[in-house]
Amino acid sequence: MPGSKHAIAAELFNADEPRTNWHDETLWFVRQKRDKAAHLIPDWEALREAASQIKNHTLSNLDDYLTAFEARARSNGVTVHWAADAAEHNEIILGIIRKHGIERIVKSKSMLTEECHLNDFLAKQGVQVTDTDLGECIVQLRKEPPSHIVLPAIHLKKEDVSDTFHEHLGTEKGNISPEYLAAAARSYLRNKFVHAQLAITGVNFAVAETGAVVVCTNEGNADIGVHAADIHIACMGIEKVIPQTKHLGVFLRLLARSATGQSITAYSSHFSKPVKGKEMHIVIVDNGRSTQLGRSDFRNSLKCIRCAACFNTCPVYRRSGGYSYHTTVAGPIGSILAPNLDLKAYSDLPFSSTLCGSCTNVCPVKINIHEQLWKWRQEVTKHGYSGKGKTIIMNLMAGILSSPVLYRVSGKLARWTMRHLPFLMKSKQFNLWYKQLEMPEAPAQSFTEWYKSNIK
Amino acid sequence: MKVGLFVPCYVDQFYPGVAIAAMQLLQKLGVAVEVPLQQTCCGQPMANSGFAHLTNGCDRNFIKNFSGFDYIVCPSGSCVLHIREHLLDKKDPGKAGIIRKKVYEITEFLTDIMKIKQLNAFFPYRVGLHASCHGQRGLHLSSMSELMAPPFSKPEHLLSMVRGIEICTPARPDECCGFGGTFCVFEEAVSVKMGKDRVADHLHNQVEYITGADMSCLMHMEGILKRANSPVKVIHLVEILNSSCHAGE
Amino acid sequence: MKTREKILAAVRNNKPVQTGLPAINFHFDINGNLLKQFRNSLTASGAESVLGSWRQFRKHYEDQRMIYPSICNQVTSLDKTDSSVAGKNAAELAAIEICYLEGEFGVAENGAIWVSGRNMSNRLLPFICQHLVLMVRVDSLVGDMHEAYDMITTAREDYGGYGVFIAGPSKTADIEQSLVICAHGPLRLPVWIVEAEKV
Repeated sequence: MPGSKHAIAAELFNADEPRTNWHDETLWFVRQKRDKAAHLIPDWEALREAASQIKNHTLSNLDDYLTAFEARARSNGVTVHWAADAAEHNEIILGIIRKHGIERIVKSKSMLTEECHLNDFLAKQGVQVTDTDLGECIVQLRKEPPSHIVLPAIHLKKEDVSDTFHEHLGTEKGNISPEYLAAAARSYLRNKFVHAQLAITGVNFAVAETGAVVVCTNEGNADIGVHAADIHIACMGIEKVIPQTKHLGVFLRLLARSATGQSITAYSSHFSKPVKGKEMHIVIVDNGRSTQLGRSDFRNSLKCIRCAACFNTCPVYRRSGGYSYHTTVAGPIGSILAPNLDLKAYSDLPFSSTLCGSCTNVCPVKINIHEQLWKWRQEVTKHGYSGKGKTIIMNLMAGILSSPVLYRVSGKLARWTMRHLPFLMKSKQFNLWYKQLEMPEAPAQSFTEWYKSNIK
Repeated sequence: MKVGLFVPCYVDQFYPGVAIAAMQLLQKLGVAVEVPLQQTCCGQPMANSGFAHLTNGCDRNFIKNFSGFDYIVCPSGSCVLHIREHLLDKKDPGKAGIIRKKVYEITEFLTDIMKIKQLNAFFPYRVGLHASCHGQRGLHLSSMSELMAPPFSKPEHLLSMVRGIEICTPARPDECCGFGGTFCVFEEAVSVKMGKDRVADHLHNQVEYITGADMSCLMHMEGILKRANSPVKVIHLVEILNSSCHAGE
Repeated sequence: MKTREKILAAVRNNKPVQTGLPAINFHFDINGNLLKQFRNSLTASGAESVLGSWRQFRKHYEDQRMIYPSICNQVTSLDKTDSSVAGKNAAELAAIEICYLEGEFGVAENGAIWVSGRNMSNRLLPFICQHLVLMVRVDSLVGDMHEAYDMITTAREDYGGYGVFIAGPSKTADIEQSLVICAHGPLRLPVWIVEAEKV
């Protein structure tokens, strides 16, 4: 049976067991920090419920909130752009760059710009962007995408960072001290900040009431970039809008605790008006979100505030890594967002899960992730992407299991085969299950056979 | 109280002892247990693989076998969850609806319906308690480490009535074992890794047995234990609860 | 305008049935001591805090002014504020060794201090200077983020187009989860909590 993209990548990932253990333990530790922080908030579950309801309400009035947000932002002197898809988003940004003859650009973390492959697009146009979040800076130098939406370089060890910085920033070979490496990044990036002409940021929350965008960072790299440069472009998906300033109280209390276990990030920045003489732009992007909004089973995945708590708790993500999901936003939330964009390409992702349900429990906005994973599995089959072999087997199973006679006969045959022809079952070629674990013993009698002969 | 015993297909075929223990335990507690003999499978393997539309046959057979009981009791959290959430009969939705309300996993049946306070059971061993995901998060058999709520555990509550037992909880109290149905075949590498990690977590507590309310999880961990030539055995919760006389007493 | 209309039409078409907004009625338990909770939160965020009188704070400022020629004051009640920074670029501002800013209020729940654009002549100041001294008055402290946003929304005046909650120094754990303080921004961030004047 040919393996799925995720399964093949996950197998490769697991080939290095010590490294898998390290990756798993590192992320589990982040999950534990989240638990510790949540335990200190007696209102935690009520806060989650409130956040979920605020987001549900917003989605049910999304057009009104988007237009209200746009109107306020415009009255604040901000230029608002709309992009239907990634290509349009990229062209808008390029347009602003060309208009002002910009050469020096810094960018703080924005998963949306990753989704739109902005850096690659601009590079092809001869425009370089420096990612200033330390984790993103590291992966950018390595020409890799981020593997985690909050901790982009979580898959890398100190030695990897040291090698990268030695190659690109001229740091001492073999010096793996995090303070030394961070200091090197600090001075490299400070130089970029100080000369930046354009700062691109993401948006954590866009407040309809005031037209403000809120950006949360631990490094302050969004702020330095924006205030040093002359032009600020904030990129947001349509689902980032929230109704009122007071709702920020709920979301900011949940976001950092869910993401890293901190009570709040070092900087929670509210940008509403550009300084006189400078420009501020907001690009509002659809890129499949309005389609997802129309899917009643999947629309509440749009409530996501990109905290990655689901990544950290997912036993599969921890043991397969972000790259095995072959999509910008990985993990459990990515597995219910990506199929909306391209069901065929991402048909493996809903199956990269045991449906344990832990993700749903940690989601600060109560997205029923594991239930959506199950529902996407039905969609995969409905659209014909389940694979011929699997479809044949499933049809066979359904036939056998719905007939008492066939069920009993097959069961007996299977057990007989296991007991008398063990080599068949024990062939790692035929029986994938047997690769790394022993099969159960095959009893001579099933329960119903025992019952008939002993009880009836 | 008319109780029908719902025997998971893989328990019927590979772990009949679990069904025997479930039946005997209920009978000891004064319950008249009937076993519909034409039952097959709840349909979960197909449904979780994206083929829920093929489960009509299983659904109809289930409804046929289990209509007319006051309670339908099953020693498997995942099968019960599947029936509760997905049992459907388009021709007679009412009937399916009634059954969905009557199906219980055996642990919750014993604590919530029968409300048993004591058991005549004896199992003098160190036992690791595995919290199977569907039973825990789906049926709420116990509190969950992710949720901020008062702790409780129906399985542990029942096990605490067993004389001589020493219950151990692993460091990661409710991480998934990795079985996941067809996941164990289609994502074999991660599935096994998860199982190995679960087993190692239990073994840290130097347990002699690993138990839980779902034989599928235990089957997965048993496969790993046997491949590693470990003396540690798996045993279903009902088998412990049913153990009134044990060698050594 | 075409894209805008297309997106809004799709949203209008696809949005779910109306649901209402919940009441926001949450409080963080400060254990009866706002100041203590605030200081504990500051410590947890990696910030040093000093509790003192206005006189002590002023003395601290005057001592620093003698040491650092390029001191930049933005606290109006402390000394004349330096408004020349408004026109300076990042490279020029980077030379500032020590900057004094007043936070409008502090949040006990998490040690965050609200610094608004109204209280500084250049928004880059809190990030670019070598040392940042943030001052906040004891009687301005609030318990949690809900109260914080009440303060912000009832402050009639827009917060000057830019406001930021600063909770401790810049930090990162991006290098194998090792926490490094002062990733960017100031190398030191002492927070002065100034007590109310005793009558």
